[in-house]
Amino acid sequence: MLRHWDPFHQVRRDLYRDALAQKGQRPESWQPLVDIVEEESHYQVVLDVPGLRREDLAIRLEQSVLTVEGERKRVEVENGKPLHHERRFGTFRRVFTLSRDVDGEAIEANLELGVLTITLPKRPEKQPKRISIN
Amino acid sequence: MLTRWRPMDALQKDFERFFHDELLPQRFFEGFFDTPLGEWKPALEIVEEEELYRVKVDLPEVKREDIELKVENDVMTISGQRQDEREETKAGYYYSERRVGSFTRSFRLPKHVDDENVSAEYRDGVLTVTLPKAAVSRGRTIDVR
Repeated sequence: MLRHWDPFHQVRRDLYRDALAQKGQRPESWQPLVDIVEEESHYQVVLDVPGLRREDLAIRLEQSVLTVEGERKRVEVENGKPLHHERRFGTFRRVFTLSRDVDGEAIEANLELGVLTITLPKRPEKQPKRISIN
Repeated sequence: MLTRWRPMDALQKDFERFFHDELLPQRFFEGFFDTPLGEWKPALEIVEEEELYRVKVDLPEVKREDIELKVENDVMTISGQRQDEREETKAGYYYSERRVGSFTRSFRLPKHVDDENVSAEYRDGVLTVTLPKAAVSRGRTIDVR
């Protein structure tokens, strides 16, 4: 068999073999956009998770590492033909290292209108004290 | 056929494909440079089903009353405002990826949409617009006698 001589074949193959292999193995994924805000008494981690329900999300706290994981499931419709798609689906994981002044026992999470808000209160002793003047 | 041998062409094409299609997180940049400050571009999806078209738009934290749907000359426009409610209380942003502000997405409706019966639902931060196809275009079988 005669084949077109491609002097760069080897180079190219080595160049992106690994990356492509990895890509093929990775399941579909996406990353929700995140804001981290500091208030006087607490921090807030806010994630855009449109379409997700409570049961699609898992929040874990280990030592001072907060992990938010979830899955955005694609709803396939039989005979549905996608004409245009920008929305992304799949699993995600976002990991945050917390500041030492966070009170891990008092973390709260709330899901509303496709936005997950995690409130991380600061330990009382770390909050600025207000001293009144008599 | 004789073609000029250009060994670099294939390599260049591969580079382009690789860095453009395979590696770059295009979605990350999409809408970032082409939308003016104070605006954002929500992700949109259009799926054609047998009897209808379904349009979904990711609109996290947008209030129902802040979404406007309009059909004009076969063009559907979904616009609105995502309000930033934390603005006044924040002590500091450590990190900010989420975009707020106004948004507008327009697309041309397929000709055979029954625009009198378009309906929309907003739930969990996702807007779903259902556009039934007009009866005539669903196709029907005609008996040959």
